[in-house]
Amino acid sequence: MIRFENVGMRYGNGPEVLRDVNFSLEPGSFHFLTGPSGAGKTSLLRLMYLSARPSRGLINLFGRDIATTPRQDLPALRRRIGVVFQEFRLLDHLSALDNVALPLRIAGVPESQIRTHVAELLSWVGLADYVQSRPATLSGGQQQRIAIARALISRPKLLLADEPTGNVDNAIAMRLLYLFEELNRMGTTVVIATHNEGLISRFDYPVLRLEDGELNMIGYGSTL
Amino acid sequence: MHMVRTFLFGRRYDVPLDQDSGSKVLPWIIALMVYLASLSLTATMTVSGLIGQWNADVAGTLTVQVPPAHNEGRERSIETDPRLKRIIAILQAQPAIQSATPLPQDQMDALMAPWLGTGDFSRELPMPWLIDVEIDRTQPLDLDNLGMQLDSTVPGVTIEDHQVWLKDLIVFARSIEVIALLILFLVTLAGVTVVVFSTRAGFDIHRNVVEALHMMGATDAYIAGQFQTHAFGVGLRGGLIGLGMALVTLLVATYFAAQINSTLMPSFSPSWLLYLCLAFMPLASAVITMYAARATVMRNLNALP
Repeated sequence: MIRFENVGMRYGNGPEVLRDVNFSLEPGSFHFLTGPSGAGKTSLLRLMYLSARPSRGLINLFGRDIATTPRQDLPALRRRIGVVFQEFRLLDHLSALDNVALPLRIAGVPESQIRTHVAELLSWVGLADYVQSRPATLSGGQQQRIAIARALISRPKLLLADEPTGNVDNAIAMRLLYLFEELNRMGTTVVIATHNEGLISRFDYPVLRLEDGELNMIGYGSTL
Repeated sequence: MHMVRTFLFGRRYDVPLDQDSGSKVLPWIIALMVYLASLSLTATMTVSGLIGQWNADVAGTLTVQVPPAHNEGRERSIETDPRLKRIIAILQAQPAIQSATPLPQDQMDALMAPWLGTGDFSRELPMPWLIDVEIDRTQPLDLDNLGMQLDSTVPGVTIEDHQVWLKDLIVFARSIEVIALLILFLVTLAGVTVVVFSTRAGFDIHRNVVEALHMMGATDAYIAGQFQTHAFGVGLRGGLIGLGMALVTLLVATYFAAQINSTLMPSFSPSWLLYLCLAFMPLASAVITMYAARATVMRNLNALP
């Protein structure tokens, strides 16, 4: 699914924020990515969802070497990845329904199918009554759930979530994690970046830890 | 508006470009550009029409002037002047000359009316006879030789080839035409520049939305489509306003031109072809705006990974 070999990354002429990152994720796996703030979690996720290019090393995604993949083929790869951004990146001028529907519209799914699927998913994340609400009128937790619904709507092969439980209480955080688990059971590879080690310890999934730009496998959540 | 756009272009409006302050000003800037472009086009086509008209009027014609006889008075007439008959006979003997017709006195009076008025006194002046000659330009005609032949028959006879003075006039008119075309080109270039900078500003304002779409797997064409659809609407709106302004100006100009009763001024009456070309201005403006926006966005998107 994903393989990183000796990957390094720097912004402009600055120092390397990621150094010699090596790991591979099997299809259908579930991983936590943790580490202190500023360790490079978001940068690593950006490389995984093709929002940035590495300064060195090799990234293989869905069996394709990203360095040699033509630029026009990248959108199709991105459509197989669902991303929950730390800052949500919801479109303020669109309703909750239209925000969640975006990946389907981009993928060219017929409009007749979109409304049913989106309403169903919004109901699943507990926002059935907010279908026509604009993000600005919703709480941080509600916005986060819209962002998660948007990442899930196109049934991605790979789900990347950057601090998805940062704005919700523990009960909702657990509920969201169960949602990701369920998605994982259906075959989606999941990577959750969080610094909430208490939450990680409740699940028995492998944990990758980033510290000073270096990545290490440190064991399983329940053993931490 | 949203539904119309969806109906027309089959695509929703994910980037909120119509909320920008620039979107409210841009149609008016484009309107001004279309207005100036329409006036330049009008000038170009009017001058071009005038040149064509002048060419059609004098192409294949000459005027022969026969000076008045010393004893000529009120009783002079085409029929009784033997000199005229001799000149016409020489002219008609030339293979390249199709006809040679003396200008009747009433037409002579009409020609002189702007200077002398409509009274009968013009007949008392020693006016030359004018002979209107139609020639076939495909056949050779030695004007110098013909001139000498006529002068030896009636001293003082001159031949006026209109092509000579028309040539200078056409050079002048063509230069006006080129200047008008240059203005049209510069106005279009200025319009494209304004659209490019406005699109760049819109791209920067909505960079977050663009990047979100990009990360969700939107192709460059999909994102550019958002901008170009919006730009098409802006260009069309601006084009229609500019066309309206140009039509009002043309109608006013046509009205005032019709009030000028002078044979010295060329007539100004816009042709149907001009109106047809002007009718396409809003569409041309919309298409140019659309492609300028698309090219700008595609170039900016290329900088994204």
